[in-house]
Amino acid sequence: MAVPEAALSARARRAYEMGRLRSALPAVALVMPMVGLSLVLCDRPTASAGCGLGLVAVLLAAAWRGRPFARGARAGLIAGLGPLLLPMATCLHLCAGGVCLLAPAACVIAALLGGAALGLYARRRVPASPEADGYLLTALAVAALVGSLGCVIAGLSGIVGMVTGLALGTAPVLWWPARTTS
Amino acid sequence: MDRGRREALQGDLARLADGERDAFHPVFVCLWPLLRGFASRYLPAEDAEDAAQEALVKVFARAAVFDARRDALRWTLGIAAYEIKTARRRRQRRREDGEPSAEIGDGRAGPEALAIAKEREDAIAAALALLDPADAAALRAYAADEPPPVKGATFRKRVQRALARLRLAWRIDHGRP
Repeated sequence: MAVPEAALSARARRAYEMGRLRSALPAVALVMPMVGLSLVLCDRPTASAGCGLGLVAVLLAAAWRGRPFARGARAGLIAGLGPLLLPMATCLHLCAGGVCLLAPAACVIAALLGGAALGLYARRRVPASPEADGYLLTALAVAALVGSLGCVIAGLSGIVGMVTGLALGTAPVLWWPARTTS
Repeated sequence: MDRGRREALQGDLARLADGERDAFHPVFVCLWPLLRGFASRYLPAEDAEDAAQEALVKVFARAAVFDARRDALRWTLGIAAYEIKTARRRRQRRREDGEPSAEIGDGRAGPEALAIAKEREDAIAAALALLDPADAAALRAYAADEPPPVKGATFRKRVQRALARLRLAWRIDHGRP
């Protein structure tokens, strides 16, 4: 049955927008085991679930918006893996007594490394443009939320340390000595 | 579809996959007539319109995961071909369920089949017009079973080369030989 072109265009547009949301599903599926690990190991289910929900929301929004936001979200997922896994690993191996003194330090160190890696990648691969800000903001937000899933094991101080570490790791690489425009 | 439009489609679809909404309209304007024409070559008019619409909507639904390294036209026509196949199967089921057929009772081709045949002949003529005149003449002579103007082996070689060029021209315009 023939339909007006405007109606068909609107239907195609809706399908496109829904398709953009669906394109986030693989990333959301990756987040599920991270949240699972956090729930099992960190003993703070509310905080873990909250960080997980926040992360899913940011990933969906970034994939739907596309362009630098979607690319930034992918980079952030990778950069956040260190702060996610390292605190959990230190706690599993070194804190059998229940006190995880190494965990906050692990959060900060892993976040510094993740932030530096993110900054280096952005500096080399993302041209200096208004889009670069969207890329970096999304990447940092996703990395911070992924890292929070691991650093929640060290409590609020671990999360604050991790966020500070990410910012400190990224900033010098990006702005010192000067950003290239390639 | 000429090379320029094909390259434009490739670029626009890649931009759309990246999330650039400005590319939506150019892709829509390029694909809608293309898919409608493609579907009408293989389906009767009433099914062709529906299949083309479904194909178009599916192309846009999957645009976000389109890999820019792939050929946009082939990717699009692949989706359309699947929709056409589905429409044909649906049509076949309708026939098996006893719904009235478009064919004339005495076994002759109906007006729909005649229209499809006419359209196909026009498409072949259009593809032949894109070829070098010598190639087109060789193919016409071969199709009409006329005596070859040159020696047998040379003629066969010429027909072979002309067929390859015809296939290429057809593929660019219609997506498959």
